[in-house]
Amino acid sequence: MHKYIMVLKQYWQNIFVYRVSFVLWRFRQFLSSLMALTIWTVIFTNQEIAFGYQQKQMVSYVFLVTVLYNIISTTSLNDLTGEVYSGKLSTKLVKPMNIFLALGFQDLADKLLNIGFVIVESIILFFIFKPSFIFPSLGQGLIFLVWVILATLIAFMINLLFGSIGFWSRDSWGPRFLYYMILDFTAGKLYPLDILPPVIQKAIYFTPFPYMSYVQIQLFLGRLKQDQILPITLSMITWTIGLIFISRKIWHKGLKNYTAMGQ
Amino acid sequence: MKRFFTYLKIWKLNASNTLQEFFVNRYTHILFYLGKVIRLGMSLLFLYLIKDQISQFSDYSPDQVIIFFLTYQFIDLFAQVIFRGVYLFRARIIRGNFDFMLLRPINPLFQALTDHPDINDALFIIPTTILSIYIATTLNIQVTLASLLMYLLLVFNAMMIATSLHISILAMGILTKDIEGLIWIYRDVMRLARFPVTVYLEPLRFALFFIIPVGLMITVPAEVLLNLTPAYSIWITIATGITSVWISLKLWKWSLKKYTSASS
Amino acid sequence: MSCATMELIMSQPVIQVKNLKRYFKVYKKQPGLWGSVKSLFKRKYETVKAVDDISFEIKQGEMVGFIGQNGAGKTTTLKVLSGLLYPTEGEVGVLDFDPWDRKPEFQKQFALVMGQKNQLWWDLPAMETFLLNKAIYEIPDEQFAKTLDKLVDLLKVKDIINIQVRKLSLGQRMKCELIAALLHNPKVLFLDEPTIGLDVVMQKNLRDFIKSYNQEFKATIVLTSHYMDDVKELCERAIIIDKGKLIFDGKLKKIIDKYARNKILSLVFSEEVSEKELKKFGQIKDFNQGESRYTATLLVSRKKAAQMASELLKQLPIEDLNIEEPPIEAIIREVFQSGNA
Repeated sequence: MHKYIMVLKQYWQNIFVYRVSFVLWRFRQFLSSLMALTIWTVIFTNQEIAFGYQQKQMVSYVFLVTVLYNIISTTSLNDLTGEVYSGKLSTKLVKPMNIFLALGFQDLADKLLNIGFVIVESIILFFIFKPSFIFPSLGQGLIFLVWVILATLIAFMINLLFGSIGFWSRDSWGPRFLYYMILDFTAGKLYPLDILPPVIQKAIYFTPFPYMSYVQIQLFLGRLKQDQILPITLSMITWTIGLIFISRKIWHKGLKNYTAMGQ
Repeated sequence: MKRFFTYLKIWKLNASNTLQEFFVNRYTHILFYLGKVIRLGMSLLFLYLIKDQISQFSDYSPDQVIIFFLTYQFIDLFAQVIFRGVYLFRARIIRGNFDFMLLRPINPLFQALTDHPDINDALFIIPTTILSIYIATTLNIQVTLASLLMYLLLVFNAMMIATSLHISILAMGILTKDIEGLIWIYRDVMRLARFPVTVYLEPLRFALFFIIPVGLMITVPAEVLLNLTPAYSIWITIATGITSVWISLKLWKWSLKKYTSASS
Repeated sequence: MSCATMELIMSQPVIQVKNLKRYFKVYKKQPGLWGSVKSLFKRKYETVKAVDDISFEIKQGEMVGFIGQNGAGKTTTLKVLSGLLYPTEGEVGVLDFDPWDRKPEFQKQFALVMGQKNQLWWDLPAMETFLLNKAIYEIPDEQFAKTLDKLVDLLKVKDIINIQVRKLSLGQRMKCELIAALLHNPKVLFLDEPTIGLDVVMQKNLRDFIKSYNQEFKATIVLTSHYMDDVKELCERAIIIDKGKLIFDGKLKKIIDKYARNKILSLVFSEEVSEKELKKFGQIKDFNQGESRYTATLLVSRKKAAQMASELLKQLPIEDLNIEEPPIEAIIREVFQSGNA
């Protein structure tokens, strides 16, 4: 266990070296939330309800999506493809650690750091916009936590899959860019998924995207019906298991070839 | 004059080489293109949904808001087409490739800014600009010939400001090698100008007009086009444009003196 | 122009360096996470004197080697001569230009080749980069064709210049990088660690190439290396730099004769040998007689090295014998310790 804690510490130290870049990254996230809150505040100055949301709900939405985004979708594994392709991954592989646990802890380190900052940023935004919040019931809160954990796993698996592209190709920013674009409007940092026309919403439900923060927030805001909770939970579990399975298979295959090539 | 043609030839060769690279990595680029189409599509969708449900956005009508967005779209994209090299600059400094730029008998600033024009974005900007013009014609806005001409002048001015921002980013890249993401700050701040910058609260509002002057680049030209009273006068806008270029060039020259070059 | 004037021009130094100083600041940080936090509040600066008052002159057609340890200041000097770095103090002139001005007329006449740095476009054939450089240096078509043919011939790369650079081997890539750097027929060549990372065969090829380039084009060549062999093979004159200071400037032969007095003999024995016996042949640096390996390292005077080697082979049970030059560090240490030449 101790060695995985070392992974955490090492990651933080590394970020510290590039602390200016990290602070800039947080600043960018801050700006993004600031923009969303400003826009919705402007929209609600002239009306009570927009797109089926009250101002209270929309503002809660923006705060929530900011926090969730930094828990679920992290970018610490962005370099994984390059590391795999160049052979740098070997240095991690030869260490007496499970590579997936190591990467998992790396991801965790990133999340913890970002969450810390998000809390500070949220406090600042709170004082600027002085929103009133909605809070879920205890039962909903627990399901919310479970869904967040499942979403985190889903995102982690997807990142691992992107990383595995490195076994075969130099970079993955093409598919990854596409992924982030779609994530941007489904996990919606600017607006929630359900303001979009139903046809688009239906299409998106074939993908794991709505489960990556949208459903969690809808639950939190009390906008889900009781009978939707179970099917959603089952869907998420299916996605999680399916992705773990695919991820493992692909990595297994990739690693076999990797060591064979003497990387 | 001969030098001008040499520079032009070099730019064309760089563009052609980048195009060849594009083909080598065509699948990646196709996905990029697709991502951009989705992003633009979703933004336009959002604006149309606002138009549908919302009658007034601060001091502007939803149709006017769309014009702000389209202006942002064009200027942001055009800068990326020409200045994509700036995104690669940090890697070049770290690997020591910037030294090559300093060794060649071509202005290193010119090289750093323009040696990697973005073909993907060039292919994207053409249809999207046509689309933008078409959308603009369907909107309920007041545009006159005078305001249109003024608009074009201010868009040119916006490109000057964009140039100076990119030069400053390059200079910062030389001075502080551990800053990654300065170019992305610029892009994110630009993004704020998708909507009229006047809706933001102080002190952000001021910063968006005079520190990273995206307000002057996008909001003011759009206001002028729509025959609204611009947040700041045209004279101030153009003066800022010229001054910013001058400042950025001085910053660049100074940064070269401080350049320490990657060790072997 | 009279002969005398010509001679005068020819004897003008092509490179002039007077009291060159180049200092820069380095931040020191303590290791560990806590050290990182501390460095947020108080950073310790250290001024590194990369080049500390160096002066020399180089004439046209000379081949000069800069020798020194890593970090001694050789690369920094070259970079100042190329106009990449701004001198902290001092005067520098190359071909009558101030390198810092970076005038195109100046840049078209010299080249800086940095080992292991790439300017070729990765996804494209080397030829595309050559054509780009042709435009950049404004090389006329005929001259370009001629120079390219000559270089391609010398380096034997005719078949590969139209293959994507990323598909080439390291050696092939290096050759193409070299061509890209020399297409404009520079009169002055700065080579910074040109053979680093190359195998023995490639190193020799490169040295031969540099030699022929110097002869063919009467180019002035300054090269830095920490491989003694590079400098030995190519340069008559050597400049030794240590910790930013110039400690020797003169004929290489003089240094080697005077300071590289010894050669190193590495021996592997098939059975145990006594130290006393070994002492007869030379100064013992290392002596390992244990377990299953019997090895020793001897320092033997240069002149007698070959003779000693044959004696050793005759008299002792030797399995393997290797004769090596002392590393440059050792020679420099000697030069430095015994005061300047």
